[in-house]
Amino acid sequence: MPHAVTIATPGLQALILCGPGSSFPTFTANPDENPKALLPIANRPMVWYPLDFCYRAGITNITLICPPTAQQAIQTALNTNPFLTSLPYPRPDLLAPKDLDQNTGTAEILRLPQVQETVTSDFLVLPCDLVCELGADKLLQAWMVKSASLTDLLDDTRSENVPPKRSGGLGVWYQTKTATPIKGEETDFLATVPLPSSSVSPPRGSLFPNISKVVYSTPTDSLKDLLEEEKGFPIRHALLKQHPRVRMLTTHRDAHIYIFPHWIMDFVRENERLETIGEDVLGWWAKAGWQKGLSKKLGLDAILGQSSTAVSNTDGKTSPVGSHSPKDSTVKHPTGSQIHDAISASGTTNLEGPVRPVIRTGDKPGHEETESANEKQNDSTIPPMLAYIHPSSSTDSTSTPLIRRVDTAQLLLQISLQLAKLPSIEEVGSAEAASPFAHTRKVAYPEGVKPRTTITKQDSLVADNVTVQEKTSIKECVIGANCQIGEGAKLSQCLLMDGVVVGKNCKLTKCILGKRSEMGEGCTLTECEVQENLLVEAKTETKNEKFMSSSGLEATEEDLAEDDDDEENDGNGNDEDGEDEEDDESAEE
Amino acid sequence: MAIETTGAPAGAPAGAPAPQEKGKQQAKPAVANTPATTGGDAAGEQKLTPAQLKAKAKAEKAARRAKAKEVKEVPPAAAVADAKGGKSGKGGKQEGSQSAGSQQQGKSMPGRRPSVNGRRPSVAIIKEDPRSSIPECFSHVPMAKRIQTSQAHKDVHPAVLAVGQQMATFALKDSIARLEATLLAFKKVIESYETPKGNSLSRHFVPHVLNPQIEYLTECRPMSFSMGNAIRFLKSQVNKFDIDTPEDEAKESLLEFIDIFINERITLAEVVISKNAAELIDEDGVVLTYGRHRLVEKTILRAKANGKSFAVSVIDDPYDQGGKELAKTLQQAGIRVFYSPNLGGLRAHLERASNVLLGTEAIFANGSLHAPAGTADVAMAASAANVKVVALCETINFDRERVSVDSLTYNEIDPERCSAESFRLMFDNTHSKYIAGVITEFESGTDFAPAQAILTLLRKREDPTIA
Repeated sequence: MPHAVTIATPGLQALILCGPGSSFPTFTANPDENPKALLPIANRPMVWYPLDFCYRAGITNITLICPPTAQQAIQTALNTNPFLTSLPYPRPDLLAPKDLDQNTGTAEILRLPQVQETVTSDFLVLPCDLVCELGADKLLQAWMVKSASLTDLLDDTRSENVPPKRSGGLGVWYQTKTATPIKGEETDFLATVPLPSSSVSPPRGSLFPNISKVVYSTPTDSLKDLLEEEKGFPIRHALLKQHPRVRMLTTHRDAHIYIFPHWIMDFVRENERLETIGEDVLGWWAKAGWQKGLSKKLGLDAILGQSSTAVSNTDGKTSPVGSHSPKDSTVKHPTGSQIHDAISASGTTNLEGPVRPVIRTGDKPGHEETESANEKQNDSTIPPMLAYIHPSSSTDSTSTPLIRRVDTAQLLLQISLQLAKLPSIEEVGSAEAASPFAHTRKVAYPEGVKPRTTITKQDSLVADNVTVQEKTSIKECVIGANCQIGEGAKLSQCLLMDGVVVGKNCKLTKCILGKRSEMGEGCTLTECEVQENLLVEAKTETKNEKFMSSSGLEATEEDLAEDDDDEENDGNGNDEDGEDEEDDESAEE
Repeated sequence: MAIETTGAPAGAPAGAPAPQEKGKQQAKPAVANTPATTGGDAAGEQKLTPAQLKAKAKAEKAARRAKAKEVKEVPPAAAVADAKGGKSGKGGKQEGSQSAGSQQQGKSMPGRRPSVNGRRPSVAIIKEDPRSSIPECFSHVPMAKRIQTSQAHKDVHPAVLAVGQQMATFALKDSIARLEATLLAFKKVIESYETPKGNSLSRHFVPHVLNPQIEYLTECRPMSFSMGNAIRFLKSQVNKFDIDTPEDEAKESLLEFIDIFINERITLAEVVISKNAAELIDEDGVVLTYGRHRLVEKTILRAKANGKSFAVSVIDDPYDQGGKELAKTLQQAGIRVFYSPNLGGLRAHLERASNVLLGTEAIFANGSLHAPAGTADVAMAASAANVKVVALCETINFDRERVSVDSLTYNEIDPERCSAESFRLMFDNTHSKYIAGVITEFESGTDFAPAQAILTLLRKREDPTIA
């Protein structure tokens, strides 16, 4: 039974952005009917993970933001999906601003009037495809201690704090190069500098040793464009003068977990050129920390000057950023070529990190002293954006908690299988000791499993109401609710979404089967993706193929609405699908 | 499984039933387990290889043993909790004072926290407790428990949560900084407080709203003496309200009380103390200090601003390199600084010193100083070398009741440096005979009170406020 959250709420609200999932072409061909947020990861809808992430830390003021076209599908899921309904109270709000479509940039979302109204305090921004085992409470602790300002939190308006110190933000980056690398995973370029050393040693178990200050952030794609255009990586003098030790990371990825102070809403509102959070908001904010005069141009000085409570000036001036594009402002630094060497040496084609260019600006140490004094002043005006760089889990995947964005089909398969390996609550003995992502049981409905079958329980998950016929073998698989596995089927490293029917003697390896798809008898598929509601012809043998219908309109409203009459609907839908399927194949041949 | 109660007694009675419930919870899956596993495995079992079967049998046996062990452990833990629940109910009157807190902690066995109200931390709570390695005879010495925000009581205010985390991680370290942040956070608590229907602020606010905050802060890190004092004042202020006082009026008056308190006891105290102490610094003298303390820093900077020329010897605390920051700040202000990273250079530095200024965490009723570990060494060496030792302290840091002649009665274990072999105490005790004088915000001119006269001083101060 769902219960109310019984832990302290940290006073932040969370925004979960439910995007279109353009990188799942097979499964989100129709993002309004089948939003990415509802794709199952280890049998739970994707959006359950960020929601659970919030509830675990006591954050109960949660707003899901989705395009109006996808609102109904998500609302239905929130009301009916057993995992979503068993989350604690209070329930998340679903906000579907009318100007939001599937292609709106993340910063543009923050600028929408409804969202501006919704956000009234410091806030978290999460993607819907986040699987984060690390507790948000630890991130919040890091933010509260390293980035938040007590002046802001306590409304300390006494005169001694002039200029008032404002809260900063915190983001999370993780290493993509793990023991099992995934092809085509996006990366982001990040440059950080160490925090000013503190006399206090960081407490054990805290994230402090891995926290640094962001000075440059951009997606790898944008970086590549820049490298191409400039034939090098231009770096400003100001950055190197203020921060002699810059660390550049090229294989990490922005987890899109941001803890932001409330003034970011003003910052985004005032600068209409900001399109995305990861590239623009973070990028410009980080630069404003060291680039002279930039904070004024971005209107940051004015925003930070005003007190946290007084929010006025709604139709304020548009920022001059427009006339001031990043390229114009960048001065090519002589040592820039060195850095370029460092980067191109490790490969612009194959970016490897961490890249640590050795830069000598020729400053005398004494000079540095005064510079760092300047920097101190600068720091006090622009609050820091900090990065928690999640240590790589390549050595031992069990010891470091999992942080991953699941935004490709391959990631979906891999993360699902990885989560399936977690011991269930039943095996561990108590819900408190088990991982937050553990299921109650590995096989939710043992009665549906006929004797003489093999299910490797340590690495498989079989959801509710699944029937498994005799002589089947299920190894390292995640099987969604209401699936039917025919006699003699052999499944290995597969992900089956809800209601999949696998015919007799099918052999499936590393396949992802969309919901209510059907495999004909005797199929042999390897590394295939099958779209929802499709029928794969009996005896199909193929490898590395994506089965999609050409029309992309399989999941009609009727299908979703009349879930109960599974039989009839499925029958009809699948017939059509089958035809489509044939068309596809003949076209290919 | 044992319970560690906290300073505030509210937690103890609540903690008593928890272990029993827990035992039940753990027993339940054990019962439910058996049919489930046999049912679920029926299908799988037949295809298991003999090796797998053996491994499985082994695992099951281990699980059975673990369960048996748990069952055995539950009753004594419950008994301990019961005894304590009764005890702390009696001691409830003196809550807020640290002695109650540390006594209770002394009684309880080291162990993990009970999960009251089914709190579910995101990390597995079976983390080994660093305390468990500390010998029983030191169990009375508290240590920062550093609880996560997800383990806090649900009524803890967000501002208090943040302040607690800063204290737990020692970002807010010295007694006055902690006191100030606590009071400001309590202001936020009061501002957001609404008396429920049928209650009065004077009856409802402290037990239901303020105490959970205090309990959480104590679990982050044991309270400082100043916080204990201030909270006592605040509570007595609440108790003074008539039961019919309108809520707005009471809130207004509490907020004003806190503002005045911060202004008088912290802001003005700092100004007065630094002004008086600055006059003690001799022209062309050398001031020696230990570690970094706000009052000492302010004093030296003020003396410099007054146009005096002098040098400063900074002896640093080797475990907390705060003196380095102090040395940097002073150097930037144009003061000549000698720096020693540890106590090694103490004797040499004392030879040229004309004065020793010490910051303190608290002062006991017998006049001894409670200050960062190492202070006592400096004070003793200085008095042996006939160098005048002056301690700077706000009166809010004075303890009116407790006396201490050693460093083990009231202290705190450094949570970062504690192992089975050794642990570090964060404070030490400096006997008043090594101190030439104490400067508080009540003294004027260069004539300062001897440490022994502190009780008199306190009575002069506190008689009007405490009825």
